[in-house]
Amino acid sequence: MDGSNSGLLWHVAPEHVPALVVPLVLPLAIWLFLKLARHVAAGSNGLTRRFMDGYDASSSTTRVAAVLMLLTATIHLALVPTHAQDDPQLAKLFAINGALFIAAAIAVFTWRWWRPFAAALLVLTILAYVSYIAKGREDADQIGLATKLIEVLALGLVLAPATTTAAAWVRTLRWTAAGAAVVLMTVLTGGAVWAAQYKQAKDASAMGAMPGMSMPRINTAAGAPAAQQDDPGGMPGGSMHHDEPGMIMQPVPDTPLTPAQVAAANQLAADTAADIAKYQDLSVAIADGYRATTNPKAATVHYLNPKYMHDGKILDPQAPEALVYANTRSGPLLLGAMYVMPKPGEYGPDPGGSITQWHMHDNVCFSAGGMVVGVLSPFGTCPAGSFNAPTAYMMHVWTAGNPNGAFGELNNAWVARLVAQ
Amino acid sequence: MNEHAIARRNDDADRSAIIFVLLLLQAAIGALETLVELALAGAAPIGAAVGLFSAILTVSLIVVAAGVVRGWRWARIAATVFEGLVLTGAGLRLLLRHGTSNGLVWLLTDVALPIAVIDLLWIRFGAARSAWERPVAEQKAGTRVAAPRPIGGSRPAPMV
Repeated sequence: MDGSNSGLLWHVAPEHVPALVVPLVLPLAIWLFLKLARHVAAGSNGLTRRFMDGYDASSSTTRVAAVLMLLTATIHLALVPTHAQDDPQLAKLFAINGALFIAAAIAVFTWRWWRPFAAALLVLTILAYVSYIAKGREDADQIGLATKLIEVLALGLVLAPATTTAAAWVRTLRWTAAGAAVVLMTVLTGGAVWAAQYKQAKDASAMGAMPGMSMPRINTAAGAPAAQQDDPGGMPGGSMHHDEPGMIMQPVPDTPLTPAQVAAANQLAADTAADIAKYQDLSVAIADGYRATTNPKAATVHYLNPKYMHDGKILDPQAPEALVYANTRSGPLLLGAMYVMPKPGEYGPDPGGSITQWHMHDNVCFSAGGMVVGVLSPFGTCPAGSFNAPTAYMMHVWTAGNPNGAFGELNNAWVARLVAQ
Repeated sequence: MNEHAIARRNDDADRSAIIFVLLLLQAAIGALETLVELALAGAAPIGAAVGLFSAILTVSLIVVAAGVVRGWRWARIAATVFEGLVLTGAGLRLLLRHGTSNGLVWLLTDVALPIAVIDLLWIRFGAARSAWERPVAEQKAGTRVAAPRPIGGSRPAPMV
């Protein structure tokens, strides 16, 4: 996903930026159109007159539905030029979709059966988006999600009864249909985007273990303590981690790794492995003050020690701020340590250059007690009763033989094998 | 029922439909968050508590949405309190996440949507009521009259 990571443009792909700008002229366009249509309708009995009569007699709900459909039409049409070269088929679909939504918006005031037409168009458009996301043909960015929210709102308004003159059973049916459609489409869209985001992260994690990949690796697996570097010059300044949703990497110098940096990283990994060996038994860690900050029954669990958070020591292998365990069938297995900076926003030292790269998470949802209880939904919100706040910068050092290296992304497939043992 | 009364009822139903859909959208997002939260952290006591609270709030929001449609005053108050809490949370988040981005979708769901609901619940409801209930002659003369009572309510709606 190519997106700016700042301000309002967070996760808006560059090719989607026109869709953010063009709708701004929509209110003026609607105002001008209505002025012109009223002027033309005054002296005619044709479609324009029918349109204006329908418009004047329409309710607020139908007008809002028409505006929302025009908005989604504008967004789709604005995306046509930027997609025409890379994905002509998608550009054509956007153009057709935009034209159909304009037709639907006009039909609101001119055609008796506009509701079934608009509802079908909205449902098909949302389902097409979900299908594209699920198949990985489109990245979910802020514009795509915002457009789907607009379409879900429009769908609800199209299905909801707008007048009190309809029969009671018809009104009940319409309210039920509107409510069900809004809930179903929102959950479907959000769920698809969420699943796609985490599938991408999972795939990236699995790729980290692929042979021949140009990533510096430090191997501290039991029985193979010697440090090694597969490709010292392959990824100068590169990241040891993949771009997970909500994960922000601390910048590292864009220079090739030096032997001193590799040695420092090896030393840190070795020291950490040696010094946290005493915590192989989880009860020892708990007795020393470590407390679970993530779900203690999940496959991997983070245990944080509050007294080490503000002890003034950074990168101290004897007192790591957190430990990570895997819940295996034979009990908790120490996977490694996690160093944490005292305050959010503070960068950590990187003695190993790009190997010892720190990261933070800005999509974590905390309970009032500071426990991680979830992650931000694609709609940017946390479950009720929890709140979102950025974490401090942190760095994992895996000491149990992570296939992606001591400082690499934790390999989920490897963890799954450990858990099953 | 005279023409004004029918038009007023239709206008109320009209605004209720928009509020209903907006509240249902929030409930749907809450339902999705609850499901994922329970899957991620439901096994832990704190996670289960948060999940349960989130689930109860989601269901309550659906009931409130239905209540707004039925013209229940308590539902309007509950919706207003809920949206006020969402806006307060959004303000706190801006403080907590100072310097980091929040995103366009968050602005829509946690800022624009609650403002729209409150606006429709109180400001526009009151305005619509005033316009319908104000005698035509007084409207022409620009005379202000006492604020009318909201449907299902016992106190006058704010005059705008």
